[in-house]
Amino acid sequence: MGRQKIIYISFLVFIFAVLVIFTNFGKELYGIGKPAVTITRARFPNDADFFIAPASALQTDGEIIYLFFVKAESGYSRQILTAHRFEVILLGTDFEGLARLKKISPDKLPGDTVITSADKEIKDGERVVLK
Amino acid sequence: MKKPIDVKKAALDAAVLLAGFVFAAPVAATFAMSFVYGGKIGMTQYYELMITNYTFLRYFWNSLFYACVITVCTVALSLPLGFIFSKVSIPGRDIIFFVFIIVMMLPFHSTLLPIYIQLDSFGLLNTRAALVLSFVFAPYAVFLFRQFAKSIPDNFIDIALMDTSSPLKIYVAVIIPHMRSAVAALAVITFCESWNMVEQVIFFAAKNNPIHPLSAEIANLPEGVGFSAAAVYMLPALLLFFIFKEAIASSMERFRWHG
Amino acid sequence: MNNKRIKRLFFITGCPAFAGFVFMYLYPFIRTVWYSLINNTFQKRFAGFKNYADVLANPYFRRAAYNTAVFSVTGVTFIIVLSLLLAFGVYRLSEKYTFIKNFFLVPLLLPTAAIIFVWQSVFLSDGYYFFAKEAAFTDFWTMLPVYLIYIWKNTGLNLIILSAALASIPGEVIEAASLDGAAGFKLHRYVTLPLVSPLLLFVFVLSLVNSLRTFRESFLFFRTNYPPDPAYTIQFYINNHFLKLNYPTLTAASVMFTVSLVLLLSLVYRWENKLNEKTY
Repeated sequence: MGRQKIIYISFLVFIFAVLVIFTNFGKELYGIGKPAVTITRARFPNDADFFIAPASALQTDGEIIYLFFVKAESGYSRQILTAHRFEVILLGTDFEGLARLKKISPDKLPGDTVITSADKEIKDGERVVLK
Repeated sequence: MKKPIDVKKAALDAAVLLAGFVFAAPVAATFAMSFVYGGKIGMTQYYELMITNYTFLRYFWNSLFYACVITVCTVALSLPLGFIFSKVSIPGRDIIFFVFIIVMMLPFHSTLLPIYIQLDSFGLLNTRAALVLSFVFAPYAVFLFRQFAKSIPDNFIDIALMDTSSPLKIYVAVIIPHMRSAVAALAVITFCESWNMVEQVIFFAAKNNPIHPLSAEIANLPEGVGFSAAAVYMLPALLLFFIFKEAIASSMERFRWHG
Repeated sequence: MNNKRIKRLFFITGCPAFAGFVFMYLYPFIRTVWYSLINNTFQKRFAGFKNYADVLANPYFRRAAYNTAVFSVTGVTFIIVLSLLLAFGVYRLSEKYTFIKNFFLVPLLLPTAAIIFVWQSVFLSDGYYFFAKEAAFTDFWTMLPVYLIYIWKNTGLNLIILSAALASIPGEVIEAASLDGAAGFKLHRYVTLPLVSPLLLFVFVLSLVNSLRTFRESFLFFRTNYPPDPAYTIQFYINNHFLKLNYPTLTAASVMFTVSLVLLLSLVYRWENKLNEKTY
């Protein structure tokens, strides 16, 4: 067999090997590099202009307080969770560690689930996985 | 002394080369576009394909399964029949072969409905068996093998007959070695045809999504990974072509309409 | 092979395949014809040619038949001209460029579903859509992608066959003809083409059959069961009736389609025999 043929055949074998690897590990590889988070539902009392979320979800950046909402989409193979940063005003906390928060911008909230902890820093719009 | 440039020949060469590159353009474009995602160049699209949308691979392996099984079965089934049509004289053989040629031209839709009903009555709808069965009986394969079998010298067979009377041994010892390039060419063609199967999936296996081959599912992938999916999908066919291109070209050239 | 016993043994090896063919092609086709002659799938009463009359009267069927014919005729003409030109070109090509033949042959083996993305991104884009709507001959521009896919995919095979045909013309014939004064266009018209014509006819038949198989590409490209008007061919018609479980109609259409194809091919076959008689 010519040298060319051997190159083609080894390329074919290589590609199959790569695909086999991804078939077996693709699912898990998705989590690598993505922050692993825990989430909880925020509460929206009726007729209130504030919502309630755990204080542990809040983060500060100088004067600005913000937290991350999680938007879930049904992707082709799995659910895709995207983190959206949202700035809030802290109205007060109560003894259970829950905070009353009011949103600053008039935009709609991107969901009702907030991130309470993450294993690494999250950027706005980044995809996350559940811990 | 420099040879004068033959303008006519150079122009001809250029024209043919240009046509060739135009033909190669869609393939090249697919590969090129597979490395772009969200405006940036890199492997991101492949990452999205294999990791975020990992079920893509399930369909790829389905396609591979069908292609391999169908190829093996088609060769195994068509080779003896092709040989019989060319070397074994049976009454009515040529008429039957003529019918074969007609059948070869039949569009899929001519026989679609009864095959559907038959598969249904055997409980084979929406199974892998349905998709395999609809491919393995291929008139073009029989036709190709018949043409090639004609080139086997009769005395080879007679000599082999003197040593053994088992058809299987004769196949292995004499017939198949003579038709090696035909077998290779047909294997590649059948592989690529079944790699490409579409109508059979739509009609005979519509309800059973997990067994679908990639050809039927690739259109359902999310936006943005289409090109990388296409690239991965094309690669086996492309590589097989290059590995076996001599066999394919030589068997095409020996194609004769009659005789 | 004269020994009857040996013959029988070989015959047995072909039986599985033969049984398969009867099961998958012959018997289904007979049943198709039967279905086309009954009135509906519940009563199964013999209805003669009523289904055929209904189908022929249907304007959608007529449109589909017309579209199929137009596509086949146009497509086959273009592809044969292109294949011939390329065959001549490749035949006279310099040695170092013969790798280019592969570029033409590869499309035949590539899966359609893969390559369709490129076509869609060009021909289904908004820009092209508006261009096609405003331009003259809208039908042609709408169908252009399908024509292109058809030509792209099938030229390679024609090319290989025609190249072989050209290569098999003995050099002495060309020499003798050019000595007699024929050159260039005349040479090809009176010498090369007639010598190539048997295989050219084969290429014609092959291209015709392939033009009918472009249903797959058309279906994948337009992504719908009801493509734009000029793309609505017989196969789409049959496809849609299948989805509506309209068996008598669909089988009548299938049978008519098949019969006309067979008639056409036997005419071509008859013509080819006449041609052969003339040359020799």
